Amino acid sequence: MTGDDPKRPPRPGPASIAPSSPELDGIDSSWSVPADALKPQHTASESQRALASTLPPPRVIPAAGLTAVHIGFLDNSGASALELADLHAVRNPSLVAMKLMAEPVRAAPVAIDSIDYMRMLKDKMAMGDFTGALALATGILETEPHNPEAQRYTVHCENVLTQMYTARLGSLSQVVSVQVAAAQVRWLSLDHRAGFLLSLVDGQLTLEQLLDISGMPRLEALRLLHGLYEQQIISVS
Amino acid sequence: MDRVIGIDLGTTNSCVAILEGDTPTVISNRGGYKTTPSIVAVTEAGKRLVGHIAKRQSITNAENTVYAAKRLIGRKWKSPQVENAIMTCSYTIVEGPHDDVRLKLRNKVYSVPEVSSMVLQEMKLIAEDYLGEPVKKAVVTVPAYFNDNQRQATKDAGAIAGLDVIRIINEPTAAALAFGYGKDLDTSVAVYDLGGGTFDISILEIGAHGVFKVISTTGDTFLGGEDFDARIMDWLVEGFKEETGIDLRQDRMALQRLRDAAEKAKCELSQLQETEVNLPFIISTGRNEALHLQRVLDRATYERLVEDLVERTIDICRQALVDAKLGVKEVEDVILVGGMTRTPVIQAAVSAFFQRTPNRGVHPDEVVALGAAIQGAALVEDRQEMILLDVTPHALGIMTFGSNFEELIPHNTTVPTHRAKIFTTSRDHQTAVKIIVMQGDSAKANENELLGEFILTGLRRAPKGEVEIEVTFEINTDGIVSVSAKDLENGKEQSIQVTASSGLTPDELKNMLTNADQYMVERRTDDKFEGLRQEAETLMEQVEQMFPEIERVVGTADFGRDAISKARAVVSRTREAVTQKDSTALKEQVEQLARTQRMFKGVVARAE
Repeated sequence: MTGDDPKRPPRPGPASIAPSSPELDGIDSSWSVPADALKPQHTASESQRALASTLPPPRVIPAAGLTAVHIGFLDNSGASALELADLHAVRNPSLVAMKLMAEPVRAAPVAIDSIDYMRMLKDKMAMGDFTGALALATGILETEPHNPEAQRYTVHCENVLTQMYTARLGSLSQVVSVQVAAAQVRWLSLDHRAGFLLSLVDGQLTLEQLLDISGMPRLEALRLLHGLYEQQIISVS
Repeated sequence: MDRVIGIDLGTTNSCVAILEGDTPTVISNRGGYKTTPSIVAVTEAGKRLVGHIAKRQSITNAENTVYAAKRLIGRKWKSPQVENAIMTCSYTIVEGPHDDVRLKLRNKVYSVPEVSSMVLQEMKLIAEDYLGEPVKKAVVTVPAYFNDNQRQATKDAGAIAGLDVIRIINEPTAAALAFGYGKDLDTSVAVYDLGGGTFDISILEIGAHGVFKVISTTGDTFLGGEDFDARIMDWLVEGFKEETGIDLRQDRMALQRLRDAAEKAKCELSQLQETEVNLPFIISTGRNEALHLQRVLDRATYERLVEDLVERTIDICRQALVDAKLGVKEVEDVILVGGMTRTPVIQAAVSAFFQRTPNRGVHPDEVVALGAAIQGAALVEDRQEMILLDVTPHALGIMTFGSNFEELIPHNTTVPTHRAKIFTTSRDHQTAVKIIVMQGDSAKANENELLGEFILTGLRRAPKGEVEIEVTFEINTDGIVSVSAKDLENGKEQSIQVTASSGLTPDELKNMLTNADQYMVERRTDDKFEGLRQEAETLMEQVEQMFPEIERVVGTADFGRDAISKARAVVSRTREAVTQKDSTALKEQVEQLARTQRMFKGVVARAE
C-alpha cells in the first residue's frame, strides 16, 4: 500500500466524487475499474475511521490458513484495505476468488449514521467497488429498510455483480464439474457455504440448476460459484 | 395402437415402465436413474423442480418442497392422516374448499392431485423421451388400502398430467403380476414392500387362471427408508457434537449434506462392510473456522442403529398373516419390493420370519412399475388371461344401531355388482331411518370412511323390529355406487348416488389441465431453445476460429472484407438471440451461421 502522493493534487471530498444525481440511471453501470482508481487517492473521512474502529482485527481461516482482511483496515493514506484489495483484485481474478471465498457479503456495522454510509457507498460505486457498495447499502437497509436510495443502489449493485459473475462464468446452462480429487477437497481454502455448493456439484447439474437448488440468494451463490471457478476447483462446459 | 405406460407412483420414488415386445422394461430418466423422487419444489424464482433436483434442495428449501404427497391424496381435511401431516411436514398444508387438502408453495395454493400430476408428468416425459412419441395412456399403481376417493384423486392427477389412466391397480398385485409373468402359478405370496416412506405387507393368492386376490394388506404409512437414513444422520450429528460441541441440526446446509450422505452410506452398506462419510467444510464455527466431518460407519453399527425399525416391519408381517388367517408355512413365496429391501439385515429378518429365502427374481425398485406395464399392455391388446378384474378395494355397507358397520359388498368383489339386505327399525314407533353409507373394513363404523347419507321417511309407526327396509347397493362399470332404501310394506323408496371424489370440481380440474398444458408448452419451448443454443455455441466457436484464416485468404479483397463483416454480424446477432432467449431469431441465426461456416470452409478449401 502506498502513502499519500505529495505531487498529486488533493482529491475532492467523497460527496463530490459521487454521482451528482441520486438516480441510478445516471450511474455508470460498467464494472471495470478506472485506471487511476488503482492508487489510493483520498484521505480517510471521519466516518471511515469510525467504521474502522468498530471492526475486529484481521482473521485467519484455519482450514486454509488464509488471512482475510476486514473492511476498514486503514493504511496511511486512509483508503480502506478492502477497497485496495478489491481494486487490485479486479485486475487479478485469482485474488478476487480468494477474497470471495473468505469474505461473504456482510452488512456494515451500524455505529455511524446512514449519511456517512451513503457517502462511502457512493465513493465505492464511483470506484467500481460494487461488492463494497452492496455491503454498505445492505447495512443501511438494515437500519432503514425503506431508504429508497439504498434500495436503488442495492438493486443496481446486485445487477452489476450478477452480470459480472455471469460474464466470467459464461452461459448458465453449462454443466459444472469438480476439478479437484475428493481427497484433496478438505485442503482447499473454502468456507462452509462454498463447501456446500461444491457438494452439490455432481457433473450433471448446470450452473442455473445449482443456483436453483443452492437455497442461497442468487447473487451469493453466483459469487461463491465464481470463486470456485476462479480457483479452478470447478469447471464449466 | 396406443402405447400404455405403467407408473409406480410411490410415496418417495416413482418409476415408469413399458412392455417392449414381450419384455417389460423400466425406462431411465435423463440422469440415468430408474427411479425418480416423488418430490416437487418451487424455487425462489418461481421455477418448478421435480425429481432428483427437487430432492437435492429439499432441506434448504423445505417450506416449498412437497414430499410424500401420496399420504395426503384424496384425504379429507379432518382425517387423522392430514392432522399428522400438518404436525410433521415442513411445507404448509391448508384446507381446501371442498373439505379437501391443499398445499401452499411460495404464494400459490395447489391441490394434492395437482402436485402428484407434476410427478406423473415427469414420468410421462421420461417415457416420451425414450419412445420418441407422445404417450397418452397409463396404468397407475396405488396401495391396496387406498379407498375410492384416493383412487379417484390419483386418476385426476393423471388427467391433469395429460394421461388417460385406463386402470388403477394395487401395488402388491402389480408386484405379483410381474413376479408371475410368463409363469402359470397357483400359490400364496407375501409382498414385503419397504419403500422410502411407507411399509406395506400384503398376502395374495395367485390363482391358476391369472386371478390375483389380495387377502390381507396392512402397513405403516410412516415407516420407510427415510427413517433408516435419519438414524445414520443422528449418529453422525451426535458424533460431531461430541467431537466439536457443534449441533449440525442448526444449519440447513449441513443437514442437507448429512441427509444425502446418510442415504449414500446406507446404500453402500448393502454391499460393503464399512463406508466412510466424508463431508468437508460441513460448518463454520463462530470464529469462521471451517470444520470437516469424517467418520467411518460399519455394517454392524448400522444394523444396531436400525434394529427396532426392522423389528417393527416384522411385527406388521405377523399381523398380516393373522388377518389373512394363514400360517407362515402356507406362504409359498416372498417378493421383496422397494430399494430398502436390498439391505442385508432386512433380507435376513424376512427370511427368518417367513422361514424361506425371499425371491430374488424380481428387481425391488422396478417390480411394481413392471407389473403396471404388463397390465397396460394386456388391456390394450385385450389379452384376457392377464387382465385383472376391477374389484372393490374396501367393503361397502351402512352404519347400524350402536355405531356398527354392516357390510353389504365385501372387499375384493368384482364390479359391476349389486347386493341387497333387509334391515328393521331399532326403536318403537320409528317413522324415519337415516341410511349412512360407508366404506371400510372395520366393524366399527367410525373407523370407516363416510361416503354419503340420506333419510327414508314415512315408515309405519310400529314396535321396533317390525318394519322391514331393504337396502340395495349397486356398483356399475364406472365404479359409481348407488344405494337405495325401500320400505317393504308401503313401497316408499329413497336413494343416493355416490361418486368417488378427489375433492376437485370439474371446473377446477379443467383449469388445472389448462395450466399443466401451458407448463408443458413452456417446458418444450425451453428444451427446444436449449438445443438451438448448444448448436449455436458450437457453430459460433467454429466460425470464430476460422476468422484469421479467412482474413489471410480473402481479407484484402472488398468481397472478403464484406463477407467477414457479415459473418461477424451473424455471430453478434446469434449472441443477442441467445441473450434475449428468442427461439425464432436464434433458429434463423443458426441457419445463417451454418451457411457461413459452409462458405468459409469452401473458401479455405479453394485456397489450399
